Amino acid sequence: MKIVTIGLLCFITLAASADKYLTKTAKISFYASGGSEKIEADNRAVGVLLDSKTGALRFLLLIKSFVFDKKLMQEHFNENYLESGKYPKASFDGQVIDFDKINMAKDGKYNVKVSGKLTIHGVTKSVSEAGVLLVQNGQPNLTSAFSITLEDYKIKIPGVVKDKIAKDVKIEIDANLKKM
Amino acid sequence: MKNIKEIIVGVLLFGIVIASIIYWQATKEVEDPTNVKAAATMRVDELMARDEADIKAINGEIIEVTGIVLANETDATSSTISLGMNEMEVIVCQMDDRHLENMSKLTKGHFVKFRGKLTGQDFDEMMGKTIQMKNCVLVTQ
Repeated sequence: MKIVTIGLLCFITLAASADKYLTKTAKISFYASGGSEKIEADNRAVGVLLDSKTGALRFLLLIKSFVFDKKLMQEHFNENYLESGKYPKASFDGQVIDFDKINMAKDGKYNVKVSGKLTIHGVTKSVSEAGVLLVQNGQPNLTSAFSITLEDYKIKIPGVVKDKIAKDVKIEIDANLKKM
Repeated sequence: MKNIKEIIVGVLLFGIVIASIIYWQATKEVEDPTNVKAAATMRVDELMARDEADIKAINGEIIEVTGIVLANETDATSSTISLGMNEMEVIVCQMDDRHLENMSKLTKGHFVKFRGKLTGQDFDEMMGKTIQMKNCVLVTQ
């Protein structure tokens, strides 16, 4: 009986993951230069899960995993602006629109629209952004570039550095997914 | 007259010192963990077995981890290496881009020791558990 139960659980787990694509090393970069100083950072430890049956898409990242060149910039980003101690994660839960038009079994390039809930700094907003889904040898690569407004996510920038930091921050995403 | 001159020179010198300190602070690079003493050394399985509170206790510290390379994503400007036995329980190390030499030589199954800053853990029912480190350097291979 025990063996049957374990076998059944394994089957259910395998069946549930059969249509899913995962990466834990997607890259998200942001560019926030408002003046001459370069303000940018990368996070190459982003988790992304795509369900090819439903088109459901999920991103998860740790704010502290953003890599900066400058120590002081990294400190300000974590302690003053994103408050990573209080809000350690950012996430996206949504859907690739019209996913049924994408053939994951065939190589191709698809312009896609993704919509869902983006949570940053403890604030959740509905977003809808464009991206490109490139399928090569059955493996999808999802890229997107869009902007977010800091004020929308209650990220406050002190007056002293206001001119140095852009109000709208450019975000770039690059996720190479593999079948689970 | 001489006193005024001395005061002006003193104020100028003080200003230069303050400006230098501000400039030095603002341009200082993030810590290179190469010569930093690790707060803890553990195997991948030992780190994975720790619960959220235990990870939180050493979050932000420079630690050393030994384990087997699961995946290597290295290009000319960056390197991300995953340690562990399977994708559902993995330690993702963003390697320090000041030390990328030899990183492309690491392949799946290599036994390595990395030193880097622990940035936290993430758990998701479908994605599994991920522990993250950044500014990692290769200690032994």
